[in-house]
Amino acid sequence: MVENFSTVYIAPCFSENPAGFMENPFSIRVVGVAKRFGDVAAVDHVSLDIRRGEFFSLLGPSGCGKTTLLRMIAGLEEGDAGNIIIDGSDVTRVPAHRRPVNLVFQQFALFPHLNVEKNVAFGLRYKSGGKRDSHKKVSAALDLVRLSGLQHRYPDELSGGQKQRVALARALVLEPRVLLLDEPLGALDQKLRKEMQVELKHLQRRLGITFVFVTHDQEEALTMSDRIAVMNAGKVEQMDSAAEVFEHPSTPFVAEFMGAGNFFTAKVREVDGAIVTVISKAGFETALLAPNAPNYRPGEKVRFVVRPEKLEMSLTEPPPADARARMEVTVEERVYQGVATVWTVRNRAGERIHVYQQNVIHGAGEQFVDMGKAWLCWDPRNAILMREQKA
Amino acid sequence: MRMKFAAVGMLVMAVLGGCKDKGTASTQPGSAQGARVLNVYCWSEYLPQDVRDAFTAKTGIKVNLTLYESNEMLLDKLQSGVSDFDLVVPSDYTVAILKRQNLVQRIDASKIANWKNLDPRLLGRAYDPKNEYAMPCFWGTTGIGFNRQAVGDIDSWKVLFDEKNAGKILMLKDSRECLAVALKVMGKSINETDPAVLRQAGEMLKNQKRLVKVYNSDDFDQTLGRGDVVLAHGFNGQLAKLVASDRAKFGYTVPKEGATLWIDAFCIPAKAKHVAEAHEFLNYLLDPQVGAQLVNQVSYASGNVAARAGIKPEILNDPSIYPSDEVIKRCEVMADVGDQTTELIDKIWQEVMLK
Amino acid sequence: MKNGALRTWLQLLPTWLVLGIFFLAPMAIMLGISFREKGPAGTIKPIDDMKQYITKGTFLNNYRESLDPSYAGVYWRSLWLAVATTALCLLIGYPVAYYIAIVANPMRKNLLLAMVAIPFWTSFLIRMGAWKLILETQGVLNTMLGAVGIAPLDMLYTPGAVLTGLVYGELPFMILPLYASLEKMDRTLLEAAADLGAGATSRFFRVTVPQTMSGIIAGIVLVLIPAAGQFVVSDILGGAKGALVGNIIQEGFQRNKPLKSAIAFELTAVVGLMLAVYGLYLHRRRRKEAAL
Repeated sequence: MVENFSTVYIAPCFSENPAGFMENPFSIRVVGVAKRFGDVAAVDHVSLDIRRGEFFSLLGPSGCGKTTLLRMIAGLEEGDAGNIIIDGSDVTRVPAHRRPVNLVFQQFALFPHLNVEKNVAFGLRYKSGGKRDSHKKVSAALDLVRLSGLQHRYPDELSGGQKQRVALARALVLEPRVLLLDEPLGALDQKLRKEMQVELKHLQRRLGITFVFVTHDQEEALTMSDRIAVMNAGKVEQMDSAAEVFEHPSTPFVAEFMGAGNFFTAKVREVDGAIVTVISKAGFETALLAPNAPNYRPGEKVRFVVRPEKLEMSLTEPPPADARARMEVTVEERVYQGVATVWTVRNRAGERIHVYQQNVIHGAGEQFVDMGKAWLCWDPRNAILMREQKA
Repeated sequence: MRMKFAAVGMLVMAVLGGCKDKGTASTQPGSAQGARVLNVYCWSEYLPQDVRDAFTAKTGIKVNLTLYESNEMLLDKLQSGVSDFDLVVPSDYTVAILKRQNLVQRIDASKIANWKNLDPRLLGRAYDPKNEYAMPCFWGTTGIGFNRQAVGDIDSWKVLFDEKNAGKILMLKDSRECLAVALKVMGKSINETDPAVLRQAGEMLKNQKRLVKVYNSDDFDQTLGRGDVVLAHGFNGQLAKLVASDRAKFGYTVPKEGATLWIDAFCIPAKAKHVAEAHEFLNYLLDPQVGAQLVNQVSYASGNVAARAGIKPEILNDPSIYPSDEVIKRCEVMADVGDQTTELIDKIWQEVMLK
Repeated sequence: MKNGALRTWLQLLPTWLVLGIFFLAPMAIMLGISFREKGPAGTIKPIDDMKQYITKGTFLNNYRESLDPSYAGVYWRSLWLAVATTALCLLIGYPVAYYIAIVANPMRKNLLLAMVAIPFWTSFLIRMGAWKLILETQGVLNTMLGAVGIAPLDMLYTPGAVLTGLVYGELPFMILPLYASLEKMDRTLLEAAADLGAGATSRFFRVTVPQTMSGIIAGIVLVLIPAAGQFVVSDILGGAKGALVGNIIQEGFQRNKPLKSAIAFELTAVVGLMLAVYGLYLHRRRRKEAAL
């Protein structure tokens, strides 16, 4: 009943999509934006386009500039250079309170002197027509985040998850064209976090508005995002769909950050169309599929990456008929994680490698002994070629 | 005398230049073993340091000085019974109150060789008819200081009740002195005790209040000097200094209706511990040279007639400091009017203040 | 167990001693004196017959007298001056505290805080004396006005002069608690408000003010109470009609301690009552909100 009401009431507000918007596929365009704090370039000439209605994540370690960039979009931080364009209009010089975006803060930033209802209604009076039916709008927004009935509680009487929902409702009630979220799940415990991830994703789908989500958790970003921009030291290292960033990291940093730490040093032997043949430092030869193959020159030093779960380990060398690449390793350590076992092994070149093996059957992997020999093999299509240094 | 050197001024001096009197008072310990001491409770300005030092040099008696700002403070201290002063300097009517409450003891004039130097005009006054308890120290009049350029020459209390001086009048913040003004205008004694007359005088003061700019007993001379008022009811000492600074602009008059003659006199508290030293000090102050030195420094008329020879002529001949006999004759000394009248006066004054 | 109770009691003892000696005991003595009758020349009359003293209501004589209509003018003047002083201190003190806490950089912040505290190094009497020099007919202010061709204004010995002196004297007591509460305010709340569409003015009144309410109340308490009992300022800067309750209490206290004690106690009671009413109002408002 309540759910119905909210849907009926919210629908016209949130699904509004004037024709004009459609002509411009970008919700937010960030063009050459830079921001320095003293000697540190927090955001170093970043450009990116965020599409209308997508769930976009800014992913990176702490200090990479993702939060600063988000705050610049919100108007809470003034940039040194570049432009920010929201829905086709340049808002670079527009103060925060006049931007059609809303931010969900990491620590929620609820007003402690106001109860839930007043917190949620806070921004309505600044929106044209916002005060009309404000009571209903607040109820609808609270229904939306499944928090009805707590209107008269004060923030200090709410749990972390409830505060999170109030913060969401407070932003959503204003029907922003873009919702910015600054590590909004960071303050929640693991279980609640998982629930909220799903819920946020549903909410975004249902409302159809653009979400820009800042996180340092790659799994969280992968779970929720349509596209991800991986940031490092103020720059965007890679911007792609979630699967692409995961499967085809374009730089060593992204690969490492996405959990693919198995780097192999090699030298290019020849380039033939899209196929690059390399000789690894460990002595074996393998052919790699690389979309930018013509860029490589024979004799050039390169690296390639294979994700731990793409490696298969066996006691004996696979038969030559097997088309897969292979190398001999020494088993160093085994960590049993229940669902899977993670092995640490080392090849002849001394490169350390992690292998992730699903525990498909009970007792799997018991044949491997510490310091014993084993063979790794993988499909060459799963090896990603990249230059020694960042592009 | 009621020359309350402005508390503010005192503190300003303490900060700017260091207040000598206070300095010595605090640096000298109460009674070092064997050493003779004398504890004096006094108005500020009355006993300059060099006079005290000279006494110490001559007799070996250390003088500890503590200051007060009103007769009320003095009364309170002595009534509390915890003070250990050997000499105090109450004003005329306060002497009578202290005497009545047995808070002072007789002075033995036979131990004061210089007693003969006392001005006979100050002796035998109502507060101490037989000169047993008090030795007059400084004396003066209460009158009007005025701005000659604004009000011309004046000679009557009536100017203080004149509409055309509205907002330009300063009155002493002192119930007895203000009532004295009203009583004199009515042709009565300043020591009137008839309740009906006193009430009538009170009504006069209440009606006068809207003409009064401020009631002030501290720096009335400066308030007049700096142009905030043109008529200032006040004690002659401070006003005489102002007049001397610019005789063309300022004047001081003891109105023709008569006025207060105030006498501040030394008394020895009943509980004094150093009575002999107190007598020695009084005798020292009555010495002609010491008396002259004192007057030349503080510019108040002294009860020591023998000192006259050594007083600077500009002080001795200043009528605001040493009034003529004729002026003295029309003045009255304030008397203790008794508890009932004092209570009535307090009540009347409270009404004036509340109006 | 018994030992623990004793220890707790001993730990609290210093607090109670300080409170008792410096706060409760003087108040109790004052209250006691206020029920007595004055004797001659500043003494307190002994009570002859306690029973009669109580049954006949003699002990309330001072309170009866102090509530005489003739006091109304002074009470009213004291009240409005205290309230106006508090309001002006808040109006002036808030922007100052805001600047120091939020706008100024850390170095300047310390300098400014020191400047707020520096006047305390000088006696209050001297500072009031200085104001006299500023406000008097030939004073600093009138000299400056004269330089730009404005005739001297009558400023000294007016209610305005008293108000100026009161505001000047009490201002630091408003600034310091306000500074403390502004300093510890969560600034992200301001960002949240801006993000939700609130402009600078709105942010100030809807976030900053409520967030610093504890500082505001502390400031009001610290200013209102001393302002209501002031007598030095009105004595030095106030004119013939400038007497405040404080002056009435202070002048002639020596000669009528019982009456003056009664007035002093009434003053304490009124201020206490005002604060209690305000506290109750806040409590009610909060409860009303919760009940909605």
